[in-house]
Amino acid sequence: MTEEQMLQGCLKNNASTQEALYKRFSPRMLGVCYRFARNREDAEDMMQEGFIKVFSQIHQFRGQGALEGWIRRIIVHTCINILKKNKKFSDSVDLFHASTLHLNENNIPSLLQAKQVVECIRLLPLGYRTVLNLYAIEGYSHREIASILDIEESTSRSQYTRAKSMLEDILLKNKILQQPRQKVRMVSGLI
Amino acid sequence: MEEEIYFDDFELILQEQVNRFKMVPEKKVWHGIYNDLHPGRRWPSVMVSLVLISSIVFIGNINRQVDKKSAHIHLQTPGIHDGKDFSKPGTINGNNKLSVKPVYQKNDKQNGVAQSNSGEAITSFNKKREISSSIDLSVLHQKASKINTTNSENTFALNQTTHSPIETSLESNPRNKKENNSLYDDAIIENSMSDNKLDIISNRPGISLSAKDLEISLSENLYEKLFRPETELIKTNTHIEELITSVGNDKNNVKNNSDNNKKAVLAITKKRNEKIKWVYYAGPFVSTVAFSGRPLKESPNLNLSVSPLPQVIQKDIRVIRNPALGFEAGLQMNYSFATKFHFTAGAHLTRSGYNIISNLVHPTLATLTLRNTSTGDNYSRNFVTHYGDGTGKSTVTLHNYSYQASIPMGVQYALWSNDNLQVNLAANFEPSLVFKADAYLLSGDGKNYVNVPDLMRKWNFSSNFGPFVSFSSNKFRWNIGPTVRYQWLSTYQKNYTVKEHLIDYGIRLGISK
Repeated sequence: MTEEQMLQGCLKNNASTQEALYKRFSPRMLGVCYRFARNREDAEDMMQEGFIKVFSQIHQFRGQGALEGWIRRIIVHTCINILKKNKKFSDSVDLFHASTLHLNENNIPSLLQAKQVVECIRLLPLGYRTVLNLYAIEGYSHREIASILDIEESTSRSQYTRAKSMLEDILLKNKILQQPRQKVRMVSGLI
Repeated sequence: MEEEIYFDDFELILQEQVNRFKMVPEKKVWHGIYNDLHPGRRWPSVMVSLVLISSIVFIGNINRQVDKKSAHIHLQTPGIHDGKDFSKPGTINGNNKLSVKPVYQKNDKQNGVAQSNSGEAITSFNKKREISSSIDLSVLHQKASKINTTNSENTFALNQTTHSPIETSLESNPRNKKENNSLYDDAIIENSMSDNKLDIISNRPGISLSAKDLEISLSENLYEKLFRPETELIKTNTHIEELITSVGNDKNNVKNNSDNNKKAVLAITKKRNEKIKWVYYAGPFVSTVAFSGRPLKESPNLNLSVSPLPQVIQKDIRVIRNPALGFEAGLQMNYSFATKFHFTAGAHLTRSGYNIISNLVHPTLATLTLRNTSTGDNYSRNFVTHYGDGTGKSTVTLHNYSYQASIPMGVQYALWSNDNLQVNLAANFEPSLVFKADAYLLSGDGKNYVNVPDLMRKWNFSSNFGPFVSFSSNKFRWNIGPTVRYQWLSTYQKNYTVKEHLIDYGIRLGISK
């Protein structure tokens, strides 16, 4: 089924088409939610709420850009709204723990793996994790992040810098990132 | 001047890796979305539920009516009806005297309504409903063609048009009147019958009867015989005197039988209550657990972004554990359906579980590998945990427990009994709802415990069985005995490959009146 057919079916509130659309995009969207959520169950709750919004607002999709991108933005916004509403997410992992966390050696693959990266992101404190997710992965600007999270733009920048540093440390410490930095020798001469 | 500049591809790596990450959601997520988007499609299930509930209520109602009917039949003791016809013509006042009034009615259309000053007997009760009657309708329906009772006017009118075998018999042999009037042998006379009962009777099909009017139709011949000229009237009066006597006897019988009926009702109620007994019980028990299966482990050499193959851990994985104290408390109804057998049903709360000996470790990422039951694929869940497998220092106890609300149904068999003591054997099967629980599971590598209460089943099935002794003491009856409870389904959902079955050994103490 093409995206266009799925769109038409969803506009008619056709259940089988909605299910087809859900099955196509839900695995990736659950991955998105999982990065924001405390655990899998919370991620599923976020995704469920997000997809309900997707189906109820699908008439607002004007075909500008990919359908997946549009769905993803709704899902991300839903995650953020839930995080803002739910205070329990703030007590996830404290800063000290995050910096000292390490993966069990048996689970460390020789190659960089998506799953390990996601798990390492999830080790970050909630504020860092959220900013990192939005800026580095979802592509929001600091201004947009500040607007979404009701924080200062400078706060978003500083949080991101710290989050990035912490994540690098975690990845290095757990030997997940073999070459976190590619050293490029450049020559710049002062003329 | 040379300057070293580092090209940082951090965001690119993150985006590339993270965007490859996918997770398969549980089916319930789609069901939740579907139910939210299409609430109308829940109506069929709601309707089915309503129909089921209505059916149960209806069946229950029918059974109750059957009970009432059977109770009514029990009330027909032989002493009530000894061949006396309380509905014979004649008037009974408070002193049991007959008053003959010069008015009589005939409902025959051809003859019109005949009235006579001398040859008519109207029976009237001076007291309204001093003796009221309830009639075994099935018998009456078979034997009498029509019965109308006039209650408001306290008049028994004789209907010429009605012919029945009984009436013929009355005519041919007046002496047999009493005997033949046994057409009402099965009639039940109650002193204290209420309007409601009359209403119930009058609503029965095939019977023309009302609380207001109770007319008894007899044959034309009998009518003529009773209301002949004066020569016949003497005979009639004699006959009426006999009737007075018989009705008087009936009245006495009614009083006696009213008492009997009350006793009978009490006996039935008592008998029914004796069949059902309520037992309150509680007791402590020790919970242990039996494991089967092994946790899945992902191979570290495989690319984890694709579906990994399960690999059974080579080393022997064991959970160091101790039994924990649990309890149960509840209410049970015992219904006796045979001499030695009781059906039991009720509800109870249970807390059972066990303790895991663990040790504190530095926060570690532990992986739990689960199997998707629909696709058969394995997937992992990662947890940050502080708990090791218990082999290290700084021991800590983890509590795996569940609170369950159960609806046990089973049977109870009396092995042996005397006046005070009874030895029983009980067994039941109980669906349980787990409403509060906590669980620590061994990670795939067997090195850590992770806290995953959401992997526990919400519903489970267990069985309770064991003997117990029952004895009476003052007002109460006590039950005491050992009991064993086994949980049939694994504590955890199917996607966790280790099966855990709780086994509880306890003592149950019960009390009933």
